[in-house]
Amino acid sequence: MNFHSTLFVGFFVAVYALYLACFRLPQGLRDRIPPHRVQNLLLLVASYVFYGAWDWRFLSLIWLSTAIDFAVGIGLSRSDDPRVRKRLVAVSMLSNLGILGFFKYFGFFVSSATELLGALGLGLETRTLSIVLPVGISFYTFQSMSYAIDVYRGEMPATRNPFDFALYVAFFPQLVAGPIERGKWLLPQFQQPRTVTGQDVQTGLLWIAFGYVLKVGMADTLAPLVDHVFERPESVDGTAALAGIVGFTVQIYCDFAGYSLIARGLARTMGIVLMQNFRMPFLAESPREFWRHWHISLSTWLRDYLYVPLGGNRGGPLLTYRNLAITMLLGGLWHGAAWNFVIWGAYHGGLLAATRAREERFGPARLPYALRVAGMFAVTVFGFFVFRVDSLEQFRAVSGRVAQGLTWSLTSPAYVVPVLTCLALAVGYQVAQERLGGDPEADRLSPPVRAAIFAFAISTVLVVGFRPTPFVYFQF
Amino acid sequence: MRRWLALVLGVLAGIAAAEGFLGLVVSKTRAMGLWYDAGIHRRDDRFGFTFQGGYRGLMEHQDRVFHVPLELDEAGFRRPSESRASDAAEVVFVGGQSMMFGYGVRDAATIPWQVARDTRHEIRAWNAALPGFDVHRSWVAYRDDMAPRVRPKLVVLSIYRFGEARTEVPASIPPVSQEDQDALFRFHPSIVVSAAGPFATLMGPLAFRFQLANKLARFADAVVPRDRVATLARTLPPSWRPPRRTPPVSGPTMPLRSFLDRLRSVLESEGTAMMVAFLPRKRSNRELYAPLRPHVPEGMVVIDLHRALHEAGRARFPTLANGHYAPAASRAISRALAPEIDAVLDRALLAAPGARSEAP
Repeated sequence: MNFHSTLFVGFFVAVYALYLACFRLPQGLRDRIPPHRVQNLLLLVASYVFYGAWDWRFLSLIWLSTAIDFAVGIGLSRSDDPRVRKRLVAVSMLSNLGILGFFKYFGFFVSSATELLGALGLGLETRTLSIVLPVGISFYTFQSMSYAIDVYRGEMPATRNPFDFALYVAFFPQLVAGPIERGKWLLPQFQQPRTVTGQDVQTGLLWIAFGYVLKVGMADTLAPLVDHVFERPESVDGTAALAGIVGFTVQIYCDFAGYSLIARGLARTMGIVLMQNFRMPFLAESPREFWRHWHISLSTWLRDYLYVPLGGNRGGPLLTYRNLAITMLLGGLWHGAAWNFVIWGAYHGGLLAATRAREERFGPARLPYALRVAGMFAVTVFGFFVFRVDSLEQFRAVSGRVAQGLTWSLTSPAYVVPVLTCLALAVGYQVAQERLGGDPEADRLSPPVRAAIFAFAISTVLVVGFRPTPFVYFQF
Repeated sequence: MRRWLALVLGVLAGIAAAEGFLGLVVSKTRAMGLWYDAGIHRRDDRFGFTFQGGYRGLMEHQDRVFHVPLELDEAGFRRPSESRASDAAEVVFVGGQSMMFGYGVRDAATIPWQVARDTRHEIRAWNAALPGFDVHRSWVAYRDDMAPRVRPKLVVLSIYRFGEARTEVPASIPPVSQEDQDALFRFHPSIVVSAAGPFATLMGPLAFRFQLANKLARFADAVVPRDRVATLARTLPPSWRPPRRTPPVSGPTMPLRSFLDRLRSVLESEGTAMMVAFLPRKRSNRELYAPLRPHVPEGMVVIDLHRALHEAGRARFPTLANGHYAPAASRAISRALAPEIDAVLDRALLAAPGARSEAP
C-alpha cells in the first residue's frame, strides 16, 4: 500500500475519520479510557493492516522485534547489574541485527563468498535460499534497537505499556521508510494526551502536498528518463547520459524527501511530530554538512550508535578517520546488500575523512559559496551515480557516453529540460526551507500562498496521476 | 472580499505554475511518450533531418504502450515486406507521415506489410513514409533515396491530415528553419495533449493547449460511456485547427491538382501507376478530405479510408498513443486498401504483359 495510491488515500481517510472521532467519545467511556489510548490502539491496528497489505507473513518479524525490545526494556528497568544490562542490550542488538542480517544480507554474503572462492579456484556448488526482503526491515529494526540502547544508556525510561511500544515500532506513516525515530522523542507523544489543532492539520496537509509534488510530480516523472539512460546507455548521447546521471540525484532526493514529507504530514495531521529527514542537502558546502542534511534520521543514528561508540573524534586524527570510514561503510551497506552501496559508503567515508584532514591542516575552504555548493553537488552526483549502477559494465557504459562528449542533439531537450526543471524546483524548496527554518509551517505562509501551493499540488497530481513506481527507499 | 479575491488569485497562480511545470517536465517525458534510441536522426540539407541508414534500435513509449525493435534499410526507410517471389510486383507507399511509417508497431503490423499479405498479387511493399514528413518531402525522399533501387509498378500516395489538407502545396520544398526542425522532433506542445475522446474534442483548443483541461476532459471521457469513434466524427468544433506539425507553406505555391498531375506524369513515364489514399483519423475525415477530392485529377484512383477506421474502432485496442494506428487499425485499413491496389495492379500488369501475377 504505497502512499501514492488511491487505496492508501481511502485507507488514511477512513483511519483519520476514526482517529478524530476518538476525541468525541462519550464522557463515560473517556473517563475509563482516555482518547489517546483508544487512538493508539486504532493506529496500531491500522499500522498492522498497512504493513500486512504488503505481505502479512512479515508481520511476525515486526512482532518478534517488538516483543524482544519491549522485554529487554522491561529487563533493563529492573536490573542495575551492569553485566545483566549488557547481556540484555546484546540480546536486542543480536536479535535485530540477526533478523536484518538473515533477511537482507545472507544471500549477498553467500554469493560474494562463492564468487571469491571461485576466483581462487575453489569453486563450490552452493544452494542459497531465495529470501524475500521484508519491506522496511532496515528502518524498524534500527528504530526498535535504538530504544533498547537508549534505555540501557539511561537516556530514557523503559515503557511498561506494550501497546505504546508496539505503536512506536510500527507507526504506519514512518514504518517502511522512516524517518527512523528515537524512543525518547516519539514514545512520549504516544503516552500523553494529544490535541489536533488547526495549525497541525494545515501544516500536515501542506507537507503532504509538498511530498506528493516531490514524489509524484518530480521523482516519478524523472524515473523513466533515468531508467532509460541507465538501462539502455547505448541508446543515448553524452548530454542525455549526463542528464540521466544528474537526474538520478534529483530523483532520489524527490522520492525520499517526498516520502518523508508525506510521512511527517500524515503524522502531523494527527498531532504527532516526526523528525525532519532532509534539510537543504543540495545547498551543502561540504561532505560533513551534506550528511547533516541528508537522511538526517539515519546519519544521526549512525553517529549516536556507531561513530561515537567507536570512539568518534576522541582518539586523534587517524582513529577519527578510521571511525568515519567504518561508519560510512556500514551506512552504505545498510542501504542494501550490493557492492555499489558498499563503494558508495566508502566513497563518502573517504570524502568525510579527506575533508576533515584538509580542514585540520589548511582551515576551512576559502572558495566562494556558489563554488563550494556546486562542487559538493557534483561530488554528490558522482556518489549517487555509483549508488545507482548495477554493475561495472553499466558504470562504464553510462560514463563512456558522457566521455564521448556533450553534443546537443534534437532529442537532448527531452532529457535536459525535465532534469533542470526538477532540480530548480528542488533547490527552490530547499531555499524555502532555509528561509523558513525547516519544512514550512502553515502559519509562516499567507493564505493566498497556501492556496497556490495546494492548487499547484492538486493540479500536478491530477495530471500526472499515481504511477506504480515504488519509493526508492522501500527496497532498503 | 479582498481576502477571497486573494485566495482565488492564489489558486489561479498555483494552477498556472503547475501548467508551466507540467509543460516543461511532463510533456517532454511522458505525454507524447515516443522514444527512439539515439542515433536515428540525421541532419539533411533538403529536409532539415532524416533518418539514419542502417539504423537498428528501439521505438518505445515511456508508459510501455509499445516497445518494439526498429530496423531501417540502408537509406533510412523501414524495411520492405518480405516476398517469396523474386519477381513480385513492387509497390511503394509514399507520404502518410508517422501513420504510414508505423509509429509504435513492428514491421509486420505496418500498413505496407499488411497490404502485402492481403493483396491477390504477390507484391513487395516498400515504405517511403517518414514521421513528420508531408507528402512533398516524402516524395522527394522517395525520388532521391529510394527510387534508384526500386522499379515500382505502383506508387500509393498517402495523404494524412496533418498540414496536408490543403489545396495549395509548395512549389518546392522550403528550407527548414532550426525552430521548425525542433518542432518536428521535440513534438509540438499542442501535440502533447492530443484529444482522447468527445469531451476533449468538445473543449476544443482548451483541451489541446492545457494539460489540466485535457486531463479533465479525459477523465470525463473515461467516466461517461459513449461511442467514441462515432462521437468523434460528429463533434469536431469548427474553430479547431490541427496543430502545426509540418512547417507552414511559405513562398511560391502550386495547386494540389498540378502537383499530383506532375507526379503522375513522372511516374507514368517510368511505367508506374499511381493512386491516392486518404488515411483516416478518428475525427471527421469527410470534412477534412472533402475539399481535396475535387482537386485530385480525373482518372486517378482515390480511396478514402475513413470507414476502415470506424470498423477498427470496434476492435479492443484500435489506436496507440496519440491516435496512431495499432495493428488492428492497420489491418482494417490494409483490408480496405488491398482490393483497390489489386485492381490497379491488374490494369498495370495487363498493360505490361509478361509481368508475374498470382491473380487467379
